Amino acid sequence: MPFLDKNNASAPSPCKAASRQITTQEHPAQRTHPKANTLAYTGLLLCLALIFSYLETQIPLLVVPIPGIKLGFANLVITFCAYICGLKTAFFISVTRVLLTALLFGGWSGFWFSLCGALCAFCVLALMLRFVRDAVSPIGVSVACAAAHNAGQLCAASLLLKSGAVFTYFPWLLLAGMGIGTVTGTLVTLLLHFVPSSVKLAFQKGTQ
Amino acid sequence: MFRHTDTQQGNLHFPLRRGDIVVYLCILLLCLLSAAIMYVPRSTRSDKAEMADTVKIHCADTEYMYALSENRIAQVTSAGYTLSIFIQDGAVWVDDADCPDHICIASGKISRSGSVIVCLPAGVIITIEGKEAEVDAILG
Repeated sequence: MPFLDKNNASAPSPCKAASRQITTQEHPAQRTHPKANTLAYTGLLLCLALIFSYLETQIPLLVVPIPGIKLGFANLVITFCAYICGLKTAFFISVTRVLLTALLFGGWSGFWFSLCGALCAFCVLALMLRFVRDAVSPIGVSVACAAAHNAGQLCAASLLLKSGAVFTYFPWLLLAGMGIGTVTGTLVTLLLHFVPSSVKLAFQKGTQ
Repeated sequence: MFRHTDTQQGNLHFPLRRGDIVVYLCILLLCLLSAAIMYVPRSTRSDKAEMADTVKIHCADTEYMYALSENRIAQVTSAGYTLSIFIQDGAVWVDDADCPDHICIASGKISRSGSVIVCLPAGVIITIEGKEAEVDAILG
């Protein structure tokens, strides 16, 4: 079995007696179709993001009586994608899932809210991954993204409804974003732990 | 791109790092700040002044203002949809509407200053505004 130890090297820590050796091996399709692997994976993630968006449309957020304000479940997929596939793919998936959700599930009243929230969340995601990637775990990134998502939605709502009164819900939305972000972040951390090495390798090679 | 700090090798360690605490604290701070800005002026108001709040019903083209203390039923037509808005005993609610989603009816009663009922298909926003200055200064 080919043994690659470049970026995923795990030196056995002195505290643990036996530590797992990480082996990264190439997927057999990687040689003949280098881009197909990443493309298929991106498509999968986009579908997953769409499913989460659909679930969001079914959950009415009763705390804030503005139709179209949503929890940020799809940020799970976007954050996970940003860690594995990079920021460009994450941006593509984010914008496309907003568009497709509005087209497929008829939520045009919430389209602008979702778009603004998704863009705000992506900005925060990009800033955090660019500057403080090693200091913040996926949980912190998810919390910041969810809070930015809700704040962006509220700003879009205030612009669209031409009323500043909606900002009374700002503290509650921030708190909700914190809760959702924690859940999402833990899931992303767990997922990143179990991502197969062939996927990691495919995306690393794709950017080199 | 996929750094070794993204995952933890070997056993699962405690996932929170120092930056996470900073993020949590920042958001809590923002929360408390916005709550302080919005809720402190209200708590200093007396009961009498609270009864003099006005109900503002904002349609697509016109705006109606009523006193919260007067009981009335307002019928508002906007964008083809008719809403029956009840103002009674210091509370406002939408009793009947022919909009497709009925979120306005499900919003229930509002009685506090700054609360909002929104009917997006009709473009109707019902707000309660107090006599004191509020955060409403953001946009017209």
